[in-house]
Amino acid sequence: MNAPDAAFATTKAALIVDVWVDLFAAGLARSGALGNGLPVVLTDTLRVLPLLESQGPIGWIHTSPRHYQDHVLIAHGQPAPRLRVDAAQQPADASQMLRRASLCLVAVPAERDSAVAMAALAAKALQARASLLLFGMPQAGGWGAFDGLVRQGALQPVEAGGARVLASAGLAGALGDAGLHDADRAVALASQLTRARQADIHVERMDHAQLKLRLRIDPVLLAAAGSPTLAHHIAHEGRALFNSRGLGAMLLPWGAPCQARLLLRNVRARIDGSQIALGGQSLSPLAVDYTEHGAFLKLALPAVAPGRDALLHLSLPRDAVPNDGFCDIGAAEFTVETA
Amino acid sequence: MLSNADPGVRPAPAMAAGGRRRLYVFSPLPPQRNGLADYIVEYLPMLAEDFDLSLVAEVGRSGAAAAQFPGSPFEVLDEAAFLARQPERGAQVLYNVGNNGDCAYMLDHLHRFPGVVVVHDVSLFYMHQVALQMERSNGMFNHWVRDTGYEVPADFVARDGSLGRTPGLLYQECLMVRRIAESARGLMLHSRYAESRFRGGAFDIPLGAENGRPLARIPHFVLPPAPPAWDAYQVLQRFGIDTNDILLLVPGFLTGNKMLYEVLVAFSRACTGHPRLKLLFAGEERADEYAVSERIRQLWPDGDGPKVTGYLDARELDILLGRADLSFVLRYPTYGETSGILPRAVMGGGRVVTVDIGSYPEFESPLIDHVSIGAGLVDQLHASIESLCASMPKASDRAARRQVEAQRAESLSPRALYPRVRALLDAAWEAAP
Repeated sequence: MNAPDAAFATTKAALIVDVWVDLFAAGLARSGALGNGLPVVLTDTLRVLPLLESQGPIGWIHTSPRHYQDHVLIAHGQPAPRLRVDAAQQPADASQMLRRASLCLVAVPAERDSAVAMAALAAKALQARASLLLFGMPQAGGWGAFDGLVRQGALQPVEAGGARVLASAGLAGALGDAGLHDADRAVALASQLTRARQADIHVERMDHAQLKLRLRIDPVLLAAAGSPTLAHHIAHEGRALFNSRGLGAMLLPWGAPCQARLLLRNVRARIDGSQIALGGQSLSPLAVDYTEHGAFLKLALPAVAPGRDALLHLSLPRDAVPNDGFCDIGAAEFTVETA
Repeated sequence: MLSNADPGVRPAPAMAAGGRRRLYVFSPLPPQRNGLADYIVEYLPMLAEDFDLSLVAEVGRSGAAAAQFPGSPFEVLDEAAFLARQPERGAQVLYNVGNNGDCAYMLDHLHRFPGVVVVHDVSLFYMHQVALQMERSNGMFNHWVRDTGYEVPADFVARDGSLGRTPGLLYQECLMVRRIAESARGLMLHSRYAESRFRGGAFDIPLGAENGRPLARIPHFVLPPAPPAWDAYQVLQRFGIDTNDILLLVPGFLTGNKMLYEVLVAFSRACTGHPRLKLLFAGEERADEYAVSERIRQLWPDGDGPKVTGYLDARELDILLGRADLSFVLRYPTYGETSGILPRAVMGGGRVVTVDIGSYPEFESPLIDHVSIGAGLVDQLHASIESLCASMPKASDRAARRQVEAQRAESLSPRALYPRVRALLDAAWEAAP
């Protein structure tokens, strides 16, 4: 591997660190190591961790304003708002959530201001004896804000490829010598989740620590509503809806580059001309297959840049949107290769 | 960073050098038939000189809009592309808002991505109503109305929260501007009337630069008179206008509040004594608001009554305004519109009759006569027509009047007003938290 390729691989490894964090945290939750406590994620971007969420509720605390409403599924009920707290607007709620935390995952941001606020919140989790795991790009500008916390909590570095990860002693011990990128643990976990029907994930080992993950997920868990009216319809109908103009947004599981395959239903015309955008980039579909179930849209998605929401935005051609209903995403499949 | 060489990926355009900030403009855009599209187009060249300009069109309209501006120094984006770029430090947003359905899409963005709001109509009730109808969320309307500080009588509210009935007074009194004022980082209004009503609607929202919401009163621009059209004669012929006719004109969309019935009655009284009188409704009919063609057929069953032109482009309308001897620019009720049709009518050089309510008295010209709303309105309109017929101006007088109006309009041209627009944008940028 030449130097630019090695640098590229390192960067990619850092960008997809949330895949490994999700695998590890889901394994912890499944093993019962979190007890009755709540896993809490501190972040300044809009993300999801679908595998950890398959084990129960997660609390999200945001240090930047968020502009979308997303949902979780309640058994035999309508979708409910995902538990997200804006730390600036609801500091008491954030503190209360952190007091209940058993595990606190901290996505170290690029912005120092966000990082300072986040470090103060993480300190509260530490006081509540929650285990901490900090992860991010090694060059992220926010790391400096956590220096005190790292000393106070005696956080230990964990092997994580090109990413920087620090963890409480207990977590570091659970991670073992393989560190975060433990392919055996991931394969075993995927098998358990599938058997228990908690997640539809298939993990294939490609080489020593490289995996190919294929996740099929209920798109309602990913639909992000940009307006109260759309959020109302998603909750009411339990579908991952576009609005009446044909505009929709979808959270991506993890920030890794991936292949996505989406089933768009109730479209009334060809959708090849849809506008698709992710983090400032306009995308074209790799393929669109029209079937009796709807249109299957196949996309090659780039990595979500640090500091950006993992949100895919789509707008459908006007003639594809019905006058008497809504288009929706009926099925979603994502394929990710780790580095 | 990862390479963008992945298949299907097109990178966002690079920021221009020079440290200019990006300005996103939300507005109806050509080829939409909307006065707000015509309004914003006049400012685009100047905005593009000062900003990295991006126009954000409603979903499904960006392609048609982009085709209107080939080779222009700005881009036209779809809503999805705009959203994918957010949050974007160093960018400002401008919303060009009027009380119509073409602006409803902005409600999805205006509160999340605050910016400067140009408020063309003081009451935005209808726009909010249409927005919820489009989204099939009528049940949220009473909640929105309450949020704006207005209490709808229970008799009008259905059990699901939608409005079972919408009396006209609601459109006039429930302005629905409070939440927009609360979100805005800057506000532009066109008249003293609009400002006073807006302040009343946003009763508890602190306005002004000291509160992070600079407010500027900048009049609607007046375009210079259209150059003489080579095909003016053909256009007039097409609408049956002869040289000797005394032409009465009702310009613009034929909406329900333009007092069309009163004009018809006044005309029917006057034309018996003046066979040269012709009345032309120069605009697109909104039959669901007032079926003017149907009413003409009832009043003139022989087919010799006034004519309705249907939609006119700006050039054709200017030809007719330049020929009209008397134009009626009437509104009742008025929801605070400040469209440019009144100064445009005056620019034609003919006399103009308008109402003495809303913002209409604020535009002053010796060519304008004001009429009062009330029982005597038809008599006043009739008197205006009689007065015109009694003293028809000479063609040379008309040319002189046009020239005077054109000189007066120079201070209200888009280029003359633009520095005030730019100052508002800068003030809002500096006042932003």
